[in-house]
Amino acid sequence: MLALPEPERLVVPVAAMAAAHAFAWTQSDPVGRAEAVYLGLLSAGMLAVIASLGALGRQRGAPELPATALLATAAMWIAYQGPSRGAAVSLILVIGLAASAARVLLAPGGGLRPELDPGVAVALALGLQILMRGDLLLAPLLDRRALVSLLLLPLAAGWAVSILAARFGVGRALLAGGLAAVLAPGFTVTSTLALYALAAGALIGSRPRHAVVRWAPIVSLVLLALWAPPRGILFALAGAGLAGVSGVVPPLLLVAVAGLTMLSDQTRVPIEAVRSWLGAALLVPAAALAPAGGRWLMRLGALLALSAALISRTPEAMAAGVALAALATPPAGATARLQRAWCLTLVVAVSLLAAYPWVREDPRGDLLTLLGWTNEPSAFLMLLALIPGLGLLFDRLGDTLPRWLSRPLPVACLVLLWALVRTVTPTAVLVDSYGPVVLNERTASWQHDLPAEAIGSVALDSNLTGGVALVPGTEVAVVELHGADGEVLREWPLRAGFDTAEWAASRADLTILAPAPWISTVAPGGTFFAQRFRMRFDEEDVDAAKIAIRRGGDLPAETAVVIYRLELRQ
Amino acid sequence: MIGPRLSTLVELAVAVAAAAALLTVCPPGDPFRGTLGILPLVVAALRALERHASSRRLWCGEGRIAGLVLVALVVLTLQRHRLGLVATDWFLAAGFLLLLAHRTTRLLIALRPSLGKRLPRRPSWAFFLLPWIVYLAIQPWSSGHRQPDGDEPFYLLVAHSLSHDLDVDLANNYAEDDWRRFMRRPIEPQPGDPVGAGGEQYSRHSFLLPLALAPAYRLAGRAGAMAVMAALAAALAWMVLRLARHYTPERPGAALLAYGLFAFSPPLLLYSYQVWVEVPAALLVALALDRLLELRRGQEWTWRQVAALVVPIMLLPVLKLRLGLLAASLLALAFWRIRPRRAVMGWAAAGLAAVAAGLALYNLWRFDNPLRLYTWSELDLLAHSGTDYVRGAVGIFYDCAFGLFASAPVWLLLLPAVGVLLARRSPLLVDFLVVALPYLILVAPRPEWFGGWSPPFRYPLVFLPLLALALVPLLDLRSRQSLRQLIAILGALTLVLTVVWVVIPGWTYNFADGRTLLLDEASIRLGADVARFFPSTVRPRAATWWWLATSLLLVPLGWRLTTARRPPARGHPTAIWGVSAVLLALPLLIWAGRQLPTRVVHLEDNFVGREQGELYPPSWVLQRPRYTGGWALPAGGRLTVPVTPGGEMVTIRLYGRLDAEKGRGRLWIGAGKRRLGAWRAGVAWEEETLGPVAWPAGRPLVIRATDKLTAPVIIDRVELEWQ
Repeated sequence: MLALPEPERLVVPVAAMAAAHAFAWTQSDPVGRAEAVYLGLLSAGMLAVIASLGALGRQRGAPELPATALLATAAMWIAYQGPSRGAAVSLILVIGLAASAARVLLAPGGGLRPELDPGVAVALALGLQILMRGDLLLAPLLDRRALVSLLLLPLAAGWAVSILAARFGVGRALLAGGLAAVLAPGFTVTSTLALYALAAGALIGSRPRHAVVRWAPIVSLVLLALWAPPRGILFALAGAGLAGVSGVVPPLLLVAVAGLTMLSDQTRVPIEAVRSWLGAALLVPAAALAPAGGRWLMRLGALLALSAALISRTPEAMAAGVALAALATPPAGATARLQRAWCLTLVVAVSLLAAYPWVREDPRGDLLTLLGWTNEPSAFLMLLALIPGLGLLFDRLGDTLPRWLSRPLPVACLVLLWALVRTVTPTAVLVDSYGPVVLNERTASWQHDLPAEAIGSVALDSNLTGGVALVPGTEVAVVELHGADGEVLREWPLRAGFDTAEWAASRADLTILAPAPWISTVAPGGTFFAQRFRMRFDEEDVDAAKIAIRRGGDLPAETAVVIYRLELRQ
Repeated sequence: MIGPRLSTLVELAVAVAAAAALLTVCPPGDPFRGTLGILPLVVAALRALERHASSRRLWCGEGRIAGLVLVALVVLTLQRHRLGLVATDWFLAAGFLLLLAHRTTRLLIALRPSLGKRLPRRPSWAFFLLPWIVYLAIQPWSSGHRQPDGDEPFYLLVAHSLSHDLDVDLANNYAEDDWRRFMRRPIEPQPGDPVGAGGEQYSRHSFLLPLALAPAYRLAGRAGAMAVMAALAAALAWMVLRLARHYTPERPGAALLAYGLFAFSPPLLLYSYQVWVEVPAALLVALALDRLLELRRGQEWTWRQVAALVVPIMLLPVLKLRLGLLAASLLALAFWRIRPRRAVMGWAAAGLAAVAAGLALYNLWRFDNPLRLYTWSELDLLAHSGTDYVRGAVGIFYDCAFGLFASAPVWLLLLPAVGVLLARRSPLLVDFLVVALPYLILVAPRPEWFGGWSPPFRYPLVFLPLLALALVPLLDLRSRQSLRQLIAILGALTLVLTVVWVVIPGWTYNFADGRTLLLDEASIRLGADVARFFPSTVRPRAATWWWLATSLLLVPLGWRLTTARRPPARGHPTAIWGVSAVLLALPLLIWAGRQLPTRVVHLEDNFVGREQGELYPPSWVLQRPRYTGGWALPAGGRLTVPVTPGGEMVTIRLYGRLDAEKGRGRLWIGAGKRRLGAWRAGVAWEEETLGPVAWPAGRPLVIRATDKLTAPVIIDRVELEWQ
């Protein structure tokens, strides 16, 4: 079980927290103070997880804990307040967790260790939860719901993964757990219940001798189905799929899922559901090469995910299907290695993009955008070619290739890198957040001369102050590109609710229409995230000489548009 | 199957292709372009070294994680705009540096078996290549973020002239703005630089170092010159291992650790990407010492051996005149240690005398002075007071801006190390004293003992290899828990500081005002004057002597008292205690800054709120420490000093004068808006005492110049005596 760190290990998170709070105490700016307290809490939580992993790994001299603590605290003290400080701290914590997890999970000669300690799984789940659900660390910290989400859900999810590991191996169990966390992101009640149902099914399938262990999972699956239909029924059916069934039962399960889907109230139109399903399916493309014994599990998983996509708008409802498909992936070989690498990429990238200061609503989608795969079908096809395709190729040709060419991972990494690098475009930053432009009643416009290069797109990070009462769609500003003679070449409106919104849009007492946030900062008081929103205007190459931003003329006097960043891309 | 050589070639080819791809992707002007361009080559080189050191297999999982982190850093760097990352360049650079530090540490461990049980006469070339690769890897960033400064641009300009014009006349180079080849800020001849009869413009700087840099400069410009400087620094690091075999041949593990500290921590790391004579000078000293220690008393010598000893010694004064003293010391050590035949001794002395005479004649011809810009009075050791000697000698090690311990606290290990050397009666101590003491006696009392406008520990860098060797006997006891804890604490601090110095190279160039750029930043950020808790001998204060006394007593004593006889269990988490101690010290620093009473305030310090006025004298005045500095407050100006009271009553003493031969005017002095008194400043430095007066808690000290002030008032400092 979750091993308590030795006393000296506990000193490190406490010391990091003390250093953060002392630093916060010196900050006169309430935003800086709130951010320092938040980052201190985030660091201390993650350091406690790393300490726990270190204790479980029984590697007392491992450097991850002291190195992470030292670097995270140094970053917090040295960086100026704002997104850059948050990004540095989050990056250090993610690397610290990854290194610590690798030390515990990997065998000294390479490859995964054969067993997964429940404590390790719980600690990992806790670490991912802290990173991906950073909002849970906002004040008030001792809120009952927040504590349950922060502690109990990862505890249950981690335990479930360790049960799955006993039957399906550490690699596939970690895949299932990791991908379930990537969906939401983090562990929600839904995704945790999905893992729990699978673990219950796996326990039933292991034919335990003790009566309590034999019957408790069955009872819990029934209760789950009764408690939250139709999702609970879907999860229970997923669990039943792992209960060692054979004969006519598997086809019956498939029919049951299909029937349940048809009988339920479908909240989505099919095309939307298929897109969502593709978005989930691209997490586990290796399932396409499921070995003979696991093919029907893959089919059940795919059907469950599609069913969940049709009856629920929340992506984590597909967790049972995705996790089931992950358990059906090949246990070894090139495809398995590629799938693990892809899962690792997803977990790390989503952890970062969901962590402070990004706090993205859809970090999975943002990762695909970064890779240049802007729609699900193209991404799905690309990943099918990259993981099962490449895996099959290497598995078949592995013996005939020279040793240095026989490694699929570097090849796949190069493809991913190429995808990431090809989207890099020369960028000129005209405004950054250390010198934001404020358009208010007194200063209603701003303009800047442009470099000689043609402009391909303009990206604008902004938010509003005093704009709570604005009707969605109100034109709060206009962005204009002017030619050399002053003529307007292009103009784009910036609309409240769609392109930008009030900085405090996420505050619990406000119900404001707002686009997905781009960057978040801790608000004064530390009770919610202040948000900035990104709008990108794409154009064919425009040879403009000047850019101007005008505040909307009909705005109330108290409303200001704050531009934090203005980028020009070629 | 392919062999390791072909594998290395394939990797090199891939690295070149990757470097080209990254250079194509990264737009010109991007601060990471150079780093990303050299990165694949550095990775390939490190992998080749790893293969060389494969007798001890690196943990492959760790290598993979490092690879993943590297990929993540490259992606973050390239995509930082699309991720909305603002002002994260420093952190990304720090990430690359930390990764480099990690791989370097692993490689050092892996290279340990190559030293065997007894240090070899010729250590593996990997011990030269490893630091060279590291130095080359950090150069694009550090050179890109800091213009050549101090003496550097002049050495580079002479190298330019030598390589392009084949002369040392810089008149045409100044006229054609050749400085643009290696920097953006214009330079012009320094005051006192000699001018020839035909208008030739010469530099006061010796041409020996530029001569060494010229071929590489001709080929690759500034980058080529820097690569040569990095190679010299790497060779110096290699020499430490070579020298260690004379003093501690049976301690290869400890010698390797000392080598690692020397090569990869400041100050050598900071000098590896700069053009200063101190690195080649240290290399010459090390070469001479190595030859000297190899020769035995009464042994028959070959002329080649004599030349190998004498040539480096003779090059020292040619490199820089003041290094002549080191040359003489080395020669004296050679005579004393090996007692050569009279003929050899005579030839060597005559050689050095001939070089000295030649230099004197050359200087006389070109500078009208055999000592160049120096005067004979500067050599008069009695002209300086004892305080001057103490200030310089302490400052070289302890000063927060220029001292060795402040640049890399891990060098504080020298304190217990000296104890160990004394206990073992190591010959290293005598050698060090003979070589370094005369030089230190010359340098320490100088007004600019800190080296002028330079990174820390400039003048004494020449004997840093000897200090590294002094650590070996101590590091041999590293299994003792107390020493491990000491190393952990000092190592943690050194790691953070090293990252800061490399990532923000400008912060190693401090003004001689008793503070540092880092401490100024910390004082502003924390809203409290924390610089006062750190030692300075430029502006001596209580902390200077507290640090000296505490470190001299506590570090060796604490180590001695807590020394466990039995070694700790394997993997004992000493690093955890070390880091925890450092982290817990931070709140303590804040508490002290906020709670300990304000006693002395220098008004030019950055944490003082200043409206109007200017620094007196300006920053770039030659030999600024000679002046009583302060802040010149003009009419209408205002200074606001945050004050932590130490009692209810205070006596305030101001030191200052009018910045004019005559004038008048008054300063208004108050606590916040409450008036405490006024001061009519005179034309001479004087002290004005106010009080004792009641001090309202929570108010700042405000000094305001009235509008009737006819000339600025220079205020040096304010002293507050609390009752």
